[in-house]
Amino acid sequence: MLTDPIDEKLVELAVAGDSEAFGEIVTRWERKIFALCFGMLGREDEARDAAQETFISAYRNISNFRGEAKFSSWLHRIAVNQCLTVKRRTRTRSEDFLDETSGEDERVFVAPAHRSPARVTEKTERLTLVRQAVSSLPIDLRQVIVMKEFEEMTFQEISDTLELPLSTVKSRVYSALRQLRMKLERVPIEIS
Amino acid sequence: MNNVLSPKCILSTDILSYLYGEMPAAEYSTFESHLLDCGDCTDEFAAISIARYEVYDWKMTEFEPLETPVFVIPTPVPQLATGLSWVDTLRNAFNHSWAVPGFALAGLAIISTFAGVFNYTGGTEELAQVNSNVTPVVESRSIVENETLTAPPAMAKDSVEEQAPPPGSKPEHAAAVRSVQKVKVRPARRSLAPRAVEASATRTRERVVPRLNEFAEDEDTSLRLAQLFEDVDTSD
Repeated sequence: MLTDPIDEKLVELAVAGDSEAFGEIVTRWERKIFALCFGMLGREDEARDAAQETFISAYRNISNFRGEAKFSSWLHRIAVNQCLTVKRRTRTRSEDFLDETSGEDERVFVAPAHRSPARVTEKTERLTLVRQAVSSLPIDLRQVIVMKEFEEMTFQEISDTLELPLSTVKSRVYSALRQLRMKLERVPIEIS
Repeated sequence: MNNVLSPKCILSTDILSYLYGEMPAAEYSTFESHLLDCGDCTDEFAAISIARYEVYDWKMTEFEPLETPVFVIPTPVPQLATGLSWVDTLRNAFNHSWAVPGFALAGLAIISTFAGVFNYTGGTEELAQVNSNVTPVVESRSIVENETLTAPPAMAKDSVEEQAPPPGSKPEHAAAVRSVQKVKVRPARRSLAPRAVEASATRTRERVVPRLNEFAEDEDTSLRLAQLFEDVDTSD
């Protein structure tokens, strides 16, 4: 995660009490924080709640941010804390209701809420960029990312299918995601 | 893998397993505790999560609404379900030890039945027609040689009666009649084939020669029958 001078300036303004500056921070980071929460929780509704709690917590504690670490790392740590809190809460609720089906395996995609035409257009453009980014991957990386994300195969299944070592499969998936992240770095950051 | 993932932390290799939920259950709490303390792993996890979510969102938006094509397999499946073709069925039928002798006997029975029916209906009638066309006065030798060409007893009797000598006939004629009466008359064989009948009839026709000088002119019926026989032969 690169240090962004715009973030540092916005943080200074937010610490000084500029609410609009903090609003700009939210606009720049909400999709990334949401994605992080989604990666940890696996549910879009829970990830949205966790992201919201993350920004509320950051707004309350931004005066404690001393700039010793990157703002992104500070924000990420708040998000991880919120996600772990949500997971603990969910786990406790599941134990209370003896719901054995909920847990790590329960990853349900909830249909996104109604979006404005501007958001729809923005998302369409972003999806076009994602499609182009995936298409531009080398064939060996594109192969594993399709098997992993679209066919929802496990690493072991991909390893067995392609007759590759498990570490090679993980390495290729990791490389594919990193390359995608770099290609999509300039994509406007908006949360649905 | 360490050369790809962040080399700063040992547990960074578990980021992917945690992200895709493929980490052993006992290691989740350990990794999450580490994630809280390690800023590098947190940033790395965030970067990978963002990239993964972009792909996930793309899949859910553009591919998830697509309907899975429905393939209708017609039932019942002809031949494919059983796996037996008509050749296999026939081969299985002959696999039994009794199959070959049984089918052979059945075939012989069918052939015999058809041959018998033919002899009873067509063959005897043709033979009777041939015998009726033959000149009554024949040489005894020719009949004996054609033992296969025999007529029913009634027919043979009629033939003999027709050959009865008229009053005042010559002795030669009487001797000829006696020789004919000595001929052993056998019942018609039903297994006689049409071609055999025709061949025998042809040989009989060749050897029956009218002998005009042996009869009186007013009783020379052999000449009239021979002409009639020739008319029939040419019409075929």
